[in-house]
Amino acid sequence: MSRAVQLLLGGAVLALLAPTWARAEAEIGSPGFPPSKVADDGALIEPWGTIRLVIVTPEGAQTTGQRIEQAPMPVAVTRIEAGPVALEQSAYRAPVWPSGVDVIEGVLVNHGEAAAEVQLRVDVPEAMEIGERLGSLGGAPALALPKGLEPVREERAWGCTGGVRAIPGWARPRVECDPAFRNISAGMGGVPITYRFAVEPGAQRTVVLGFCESHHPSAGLRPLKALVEGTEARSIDPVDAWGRHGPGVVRFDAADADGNGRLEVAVAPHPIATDRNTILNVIWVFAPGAAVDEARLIAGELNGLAERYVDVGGENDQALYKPGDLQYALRLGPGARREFFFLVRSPGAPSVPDPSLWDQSSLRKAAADVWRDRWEEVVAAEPASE
Amino acid sequence: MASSVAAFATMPLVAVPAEEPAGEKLDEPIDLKSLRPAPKVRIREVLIRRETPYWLGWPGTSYDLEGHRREYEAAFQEMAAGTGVTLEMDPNPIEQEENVAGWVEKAKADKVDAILIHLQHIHCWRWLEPVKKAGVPTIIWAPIGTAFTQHVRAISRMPGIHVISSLETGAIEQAFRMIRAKRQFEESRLLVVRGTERKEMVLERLGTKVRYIPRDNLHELFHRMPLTDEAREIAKTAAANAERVVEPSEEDLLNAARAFLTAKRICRDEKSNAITSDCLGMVSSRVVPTPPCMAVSMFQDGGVTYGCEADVFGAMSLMLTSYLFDKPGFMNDPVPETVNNLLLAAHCVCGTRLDGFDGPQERHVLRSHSESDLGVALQVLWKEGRPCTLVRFSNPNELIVDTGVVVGNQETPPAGGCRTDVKIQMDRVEDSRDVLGFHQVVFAGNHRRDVESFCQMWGIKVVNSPEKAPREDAL
Repeated sequence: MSRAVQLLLGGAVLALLAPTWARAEAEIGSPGFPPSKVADDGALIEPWGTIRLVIVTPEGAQTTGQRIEQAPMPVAVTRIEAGPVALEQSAYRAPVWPSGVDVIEGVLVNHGEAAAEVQLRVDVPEAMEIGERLGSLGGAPALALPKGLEPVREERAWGCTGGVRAIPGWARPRVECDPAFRNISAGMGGVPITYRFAVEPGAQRTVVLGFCESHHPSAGLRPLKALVEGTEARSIDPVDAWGRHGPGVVRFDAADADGNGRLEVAVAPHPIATDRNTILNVIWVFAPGAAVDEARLIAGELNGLAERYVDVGGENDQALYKPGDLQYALRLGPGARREFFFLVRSPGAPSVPDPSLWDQSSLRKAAADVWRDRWEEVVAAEPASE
Repeated sequence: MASSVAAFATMPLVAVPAEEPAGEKLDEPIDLKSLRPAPKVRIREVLIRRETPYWLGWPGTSYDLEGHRREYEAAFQEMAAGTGVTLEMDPNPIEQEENVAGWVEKAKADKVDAILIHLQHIHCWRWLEPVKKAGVPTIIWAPIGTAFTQHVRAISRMPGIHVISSLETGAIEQAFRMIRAKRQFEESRLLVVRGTERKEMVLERLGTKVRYIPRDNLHELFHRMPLTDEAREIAKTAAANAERVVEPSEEDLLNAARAFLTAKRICRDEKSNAITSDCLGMVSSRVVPTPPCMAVSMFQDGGVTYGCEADVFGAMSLMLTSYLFDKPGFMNDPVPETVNNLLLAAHCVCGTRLDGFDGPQERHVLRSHSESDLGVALQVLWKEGRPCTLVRFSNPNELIVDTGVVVGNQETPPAGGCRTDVKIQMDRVEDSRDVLGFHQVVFAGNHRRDVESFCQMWGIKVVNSPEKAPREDAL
């Protein structure tokens, strides 16, 4: 893509963002990478959308200040106050391999003498699907949610908890079979693929998982661990069991063992797997003790008998959580403070890094190390006017 | 020599030093060792035992507690000095279980890099619960007579903990290197010379900074680099230390020496501790008259990584052998030899001080870089029977580790490929075709357990090549 085309596209994106862009004042970034903007209310403005933290209660939140710190990286620090509660958010770019990530650190403090009920809302783009730990746009992670801060949100009757990538048409089954075997979701880097299904508390079900491995030619490279609630963890090596491109199924007599009304089904990387990217093609949930003929199931002839039939990564698939802004409810005692951070996909980055590999200290150190030893930017001289 | 240089100036790939920008002082000597990161590493030590005198219970009433304490503490100090670690020894042993938690928390609060626990009674293992939970990198020295298998089986496999149940105090030195190596990774900046962009990132887990700079910077600096006395001395010494000089001319040697000076200079200017460059790209586009192969070998021998082909994780793997073992690594292309079921590790960039930076040079021959037949590359002749280890970071969170034994060296010709071509009989890999990875780094010694310990300490997943060949029907 030529520089001119890039500029034109960039201009088009800016035009789309015009209402918020106009409020952008601060710039954060890292040497060698395109910057992001921070609006005067602390909202982080990325090419794909805006992330904004809002105090809903106590009511009457107001932005009371914004400053740019050089720490030595540029940090946009925005203060929002709502009654006795103050939110100080610091946005900066952490230059983590390979493309960097934007960080929003938040510190909520209750300066009052009584406990405060705080409702915090995180505005996200309308199209963002929010999973257990990640918000994704078009299947690509764009927002990593903070550890230790659980959002309040509505669940669907069934769905994937997120953090995985849908790859329709990935598999090439070597025999005629249910078309769902062609599609997968993949948990890149060892992310478990997790689904939850609403059932009566303590209920039993027959769960069948379908696999078709079309990448690895040999057994032992991508063995998986199936974790189906109410059953022993089971090792599955699709190539060993059915060969490359071979569709196959594994049956479990599952139960809602913790009685929470949710049957959890997950596929995790096996500890000995060389390739830790998890895959899953199909899930069927049948009545307990259902007679399931494997050949007919693989052929797609029993889908209508299933309570749930999930074409994982295909058309008949969905996220567990309904889309929409994130809501957090916190109780802060007098003088109490709560710290957290979000990781936000930065311009040009394909994803967000695994937040378990970083903490606030290592993210800040990464940014500071790069800025401390940064090179002198060579600025091209303006051509002399005739 | 002067006439040779004059003759070289008429060649098509002439390297004529360009005009030096004001104040650049390119003839200023740079000590290669100054590029190696030397972070301050603090390890705090304490002795944990039951109240003395003992009556029964291992190590036993006859065990000379104070004598062995003095013996091992002297060894600890010696190992610390040898590895550049600052050892803070607590003069007061912990003899009550309830004092362990406070001691560990204090060490954590003081931000030491690791703790070393010298265990002197077999019943004290259960006292270590606070240590397991503290999240401070921990080395446990349990001399024989203080542990049964049941005591170490679980704790010795926990992330962040390294148990030495042995009388071999040399293992303490390696444990200190394990802590130091992590700090060296954290303090390192790897310079990647390729493409046209300038940018810098930081790797997760290891904390290494990776700075990309445009490729032009290196070859333009090379062309400005003067032929100094240092360069002449390097060329002379390289030729003198080799068994033979086959293809390279004097001009090649002088250019190779200038490539070495150029690499040192660019590392210093970019505040970097290691480098990898798009060497093949520069040679194929003929912007330099020599690939940097000899400079690469010299860097490895001096304890500073110079990787090939701008391969970031190849360079990180070289840094691992340098920091964790004080030995040069050999980044290579893996070639299967299917008649004898061997792996040939082939490249033109092997270091020579295979047993350590202070050790003797392995026999070697000066050759040209094989693919281009330009410049100077080392054909290092590894001794037959040498155990060796292969490592390769797939990413900062995963390392491929295998081992083998050197069974010979392949000459070129008759073979094509690269000048150093080491024949390896692999351990625990049925078929050499199944060895995982590319640009693995081979280094001397069977260090499988040491590498695994490093990975366990820092949460890196270990991957081994498959022991069994794949089934035919799976292909």
